[in-house]
Amino acid sequence: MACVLFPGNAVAGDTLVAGVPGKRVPPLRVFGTRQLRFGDVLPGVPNSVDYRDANAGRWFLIGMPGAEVDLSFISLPGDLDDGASSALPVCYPTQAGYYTFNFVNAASAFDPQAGTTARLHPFWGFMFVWLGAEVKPTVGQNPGGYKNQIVLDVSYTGN
Amino acid sequence: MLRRIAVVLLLASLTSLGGSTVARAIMIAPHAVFLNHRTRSAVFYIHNPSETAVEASVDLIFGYPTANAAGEMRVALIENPGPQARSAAQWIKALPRRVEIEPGGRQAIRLLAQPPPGLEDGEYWSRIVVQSQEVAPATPVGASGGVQTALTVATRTITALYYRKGTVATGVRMNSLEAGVDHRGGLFCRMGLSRMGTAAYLGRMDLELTDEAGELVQSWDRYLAVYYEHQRVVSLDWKADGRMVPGKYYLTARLVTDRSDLPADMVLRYEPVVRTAEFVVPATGAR
Repeated sequence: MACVLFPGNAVAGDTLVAGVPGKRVPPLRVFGTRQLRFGDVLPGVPNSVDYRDANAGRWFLIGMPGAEVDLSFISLPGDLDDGASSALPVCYPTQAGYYTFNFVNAASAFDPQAGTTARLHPFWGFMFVWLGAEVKPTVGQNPGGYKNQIVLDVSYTGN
Repeated sequence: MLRRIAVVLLLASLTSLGGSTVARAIMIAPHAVFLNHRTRSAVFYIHNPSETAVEASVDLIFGYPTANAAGEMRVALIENPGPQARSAAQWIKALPRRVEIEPGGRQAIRLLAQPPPGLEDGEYWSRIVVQSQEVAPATPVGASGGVQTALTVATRTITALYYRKGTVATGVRMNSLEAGVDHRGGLFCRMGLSRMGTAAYLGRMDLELTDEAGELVQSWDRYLAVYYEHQRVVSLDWKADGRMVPGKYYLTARLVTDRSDLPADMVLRYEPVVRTAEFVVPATGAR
């Protein structure tokens, strides 16, 4: 059992059980480390980013070495909006990927709509997750800034 | 110390790769929260170790780990559980529910339980769902005057919650155990598990593979959580230098309630449950 060794306030890493002092175990930390970037988007021209692409969205997890985690994208947005009345459709035709190091070419693929379970690295407790997507602007797509958010759900399964 | 240095270096490299790279995070501690009917409250912490302020919202949703049709463990979140579910989600409140946490800051969240009158003894479950996002809004990027996009990444971190009233007990029944060689050439075992008692079974499975002569070939261990009943499939990798010799083998699964990741006084004990499956590695299945 590795003890928690995170920078920052050590109390946050303690197991506290309704006031009962407990042992130190690594809580799960999840970093959103890279936005999903489409670059220049032209009206009428679909733009796809594969999860292995350098523009894919990326998350980094640190937790209990060897622990199993559930990875789910609960509500993948169906469009990006400009805050007014225009929407830019987005879909997820490609797989997502995960791996215990930042080597996306070695990643295991999974369906982002279905999610998956995976084990954190047995010593480091690391996990990387990547996701690609495709935007489909219409020919008459209004110019402007479109945005939305992808939320990754992460949970220890207890297994 | 080695792990700490690695984390710091890794994060430094991740945040220096490209101008739009971000490193937002939250950390929830502890990773499992226990309440009891006497105190009816507990505290957990949301820590923001990143360099930007984050907003976090806290919700309680009934959920538990269970196996899907393929035998893989998933955490099921159920917004509206039926009355038969052992849900505590609807009567435990988190205060505050929305917080803004400065870089390096930490926020205590208090959980207060208001169980319905006449609640039966036993254990009730929920998941604490903490969603975080950066305070500063994302800026769409792209050709000036054209279509600009920003698809930011965010996280929901989900933590287990257990509420215990009165005398609680747990147990597990291993209804079936099957082992064999899977399509990868690795070993699999499929076990049917049922929880007994009034609390989740939080334990560990120790697996031992022995050959026909009784010699230990390899062993594994996995944490185990059984809330209701499920069929779980476990994939087991051979040692890197191991070779599977054709022949008869025995896989013994031993379920115990030793959990080093949980506080000892919160672990409910139960007698070890042992079962052995016999299988044959054919000449074509060996590697």
